[in-house]
Amino acid sequence: MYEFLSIEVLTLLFFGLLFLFIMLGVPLAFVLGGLSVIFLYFEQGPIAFYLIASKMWDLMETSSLIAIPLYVFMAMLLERSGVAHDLYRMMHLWWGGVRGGLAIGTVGICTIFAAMSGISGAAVVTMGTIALPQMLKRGYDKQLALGAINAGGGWGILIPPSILMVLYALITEVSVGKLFAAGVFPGLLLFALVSIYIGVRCWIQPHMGPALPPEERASWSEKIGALRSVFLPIFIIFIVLGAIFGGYATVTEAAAVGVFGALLASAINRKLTWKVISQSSLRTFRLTTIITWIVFAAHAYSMAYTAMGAEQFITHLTEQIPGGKWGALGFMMFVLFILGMVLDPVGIMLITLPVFLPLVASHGFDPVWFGILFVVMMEISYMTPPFGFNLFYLRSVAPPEVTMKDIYWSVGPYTVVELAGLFLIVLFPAIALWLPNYLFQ
Amino acid sequence: MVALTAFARAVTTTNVWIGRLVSYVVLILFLLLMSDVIMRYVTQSPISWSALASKMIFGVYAIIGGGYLLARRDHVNVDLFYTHFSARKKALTDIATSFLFFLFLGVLISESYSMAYDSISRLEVSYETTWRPPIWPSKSMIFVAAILLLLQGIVKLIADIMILLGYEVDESAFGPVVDDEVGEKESV
Repeated sequence: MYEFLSIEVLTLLFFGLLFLFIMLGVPLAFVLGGLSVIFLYFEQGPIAFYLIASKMWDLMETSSLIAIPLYVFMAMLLERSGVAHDLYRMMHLWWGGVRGGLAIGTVGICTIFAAMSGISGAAVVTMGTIALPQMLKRGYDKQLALGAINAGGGWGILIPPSILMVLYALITEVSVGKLFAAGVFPGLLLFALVSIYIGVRCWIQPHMGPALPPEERASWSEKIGALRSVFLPIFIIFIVLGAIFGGYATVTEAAAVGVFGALLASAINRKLTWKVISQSSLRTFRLTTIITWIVFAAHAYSMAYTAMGAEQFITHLTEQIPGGKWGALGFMMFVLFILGMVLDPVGIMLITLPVFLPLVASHGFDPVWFGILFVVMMEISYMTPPFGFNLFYLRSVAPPEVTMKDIYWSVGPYTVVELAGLFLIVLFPAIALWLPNYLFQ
Repeated sequence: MVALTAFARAVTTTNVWIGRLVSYVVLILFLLLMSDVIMRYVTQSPISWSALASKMIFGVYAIIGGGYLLARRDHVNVDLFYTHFSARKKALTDIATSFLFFLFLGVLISESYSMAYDSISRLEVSYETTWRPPIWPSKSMIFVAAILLLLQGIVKLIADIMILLGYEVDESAFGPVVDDEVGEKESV
């Protein structure tokens, strides 16, 4: 029906209109849904419309998606469970005497939190509420402290469990368990790199993160006593990841086990009230619905993309990029970085993957490894202005003396550190792939 | 104008209440899956129907809140430029781009209607396991969810037109509704 339009023009229209309407502030789900109706109509006629409803039904029947509300619910419960408070006290006692120690301790808690949570918001909110005021009170540099929370808060999607990986697995049909396992060491690598950055920076410039004065430092008995706070998190991480990696439960079942762990932790800390449960349920419902509507609409959109036949054209186009497969990889990462500044990760993933996956396959990249690179880029996207959820979360909980400008500027060095981490994973794919290969032969 | 506001309030209230009630379904999902795991390892006899039941319940849970989200203006959008628009300019932009919403919902409603009609007329069941549960109720929920979202979209369009014409818009009827103290938008 569109013979008068060449594939080049059509592809340009397809992505150009998408970008235009997104920039006009139209909700992503409606842009994707509306445009897919238009393009399906011109490609195949109204006969193709049944696909929109039937694809929706297929997704409703996808059992791996049930993991999403459960992991979100788990994170929402943990956010109010008091676990983070106890962890922070422990870190304060152990690391307070080191230059930059409170910031290193904060990213350490972010790492632990990431291993209990499949989303990134929970760590940013809790650390922004608990750790940030403490660090500012102790004379820590504003941007050093803000950036640490911003960077560490994003690890929730890289260190398993991860909602984004559940979606990536759904689209690419790789195993979720493998992806989860592949996220472990890259997550620890980023933690190490960020900690080294903070440590070195504060060692050279002590005013950025002064050590606590000796009289405020804790005694050994206090330190040992505070270690109790890690029991509950370790227990939760152990039952959830242990169940998945040990093959005892599916990713979805493990999520239910994690909810149980989170409820238990809240109960032990005497934070388990009906209000907490009902508020967490409501927030979970909202976030799940936000995700599923985008996923539904994006499925229709990727059908329209496939039906258009632009795949070959795009593949051909990327062959023009100099540098062969590494040029193509660099290009994809660049596109993700730019999109990450304006779009949310779920949207980016659903829009770009149909285009990227044929390229990944044709260049012989491992889809699990690519998935990890993708998630690291999304993490960077969480913290890069102007649009990054971590920025808004941090703004909403930060004390009034922190301006949006402080938060924007704080991410610079941390972005560089995380990009360095990404580069290491590209150079040494084993960082990501060793564990999944070891666990799932 | 009074009738319009009453219509808007009815739609918005319905969606907000559906959101409130359905949000608790996550507890049912948790219990179903948790008891399945426990039964498998403790009594060695998994519950045959729980996986299928949780799937059907999740399906409805995942789609029914589309209208609720719109009442709260919670569907994710990029507000890079949009936030800086005046109220009138926002309304004008939304009216101009609303054709995307109505095209999507129009197609979704007509297609999900025929799917639901077909499914109900033969009282469709699932053949996935030996337990043959009816799936026509959850399948027809796509139609219901789409109608709920469409109605909220119409309410939003009316509100935008009223803003453009300079009328006072009652946010508790037309949205964005604020239904708890959690201020920020949610994200993955």
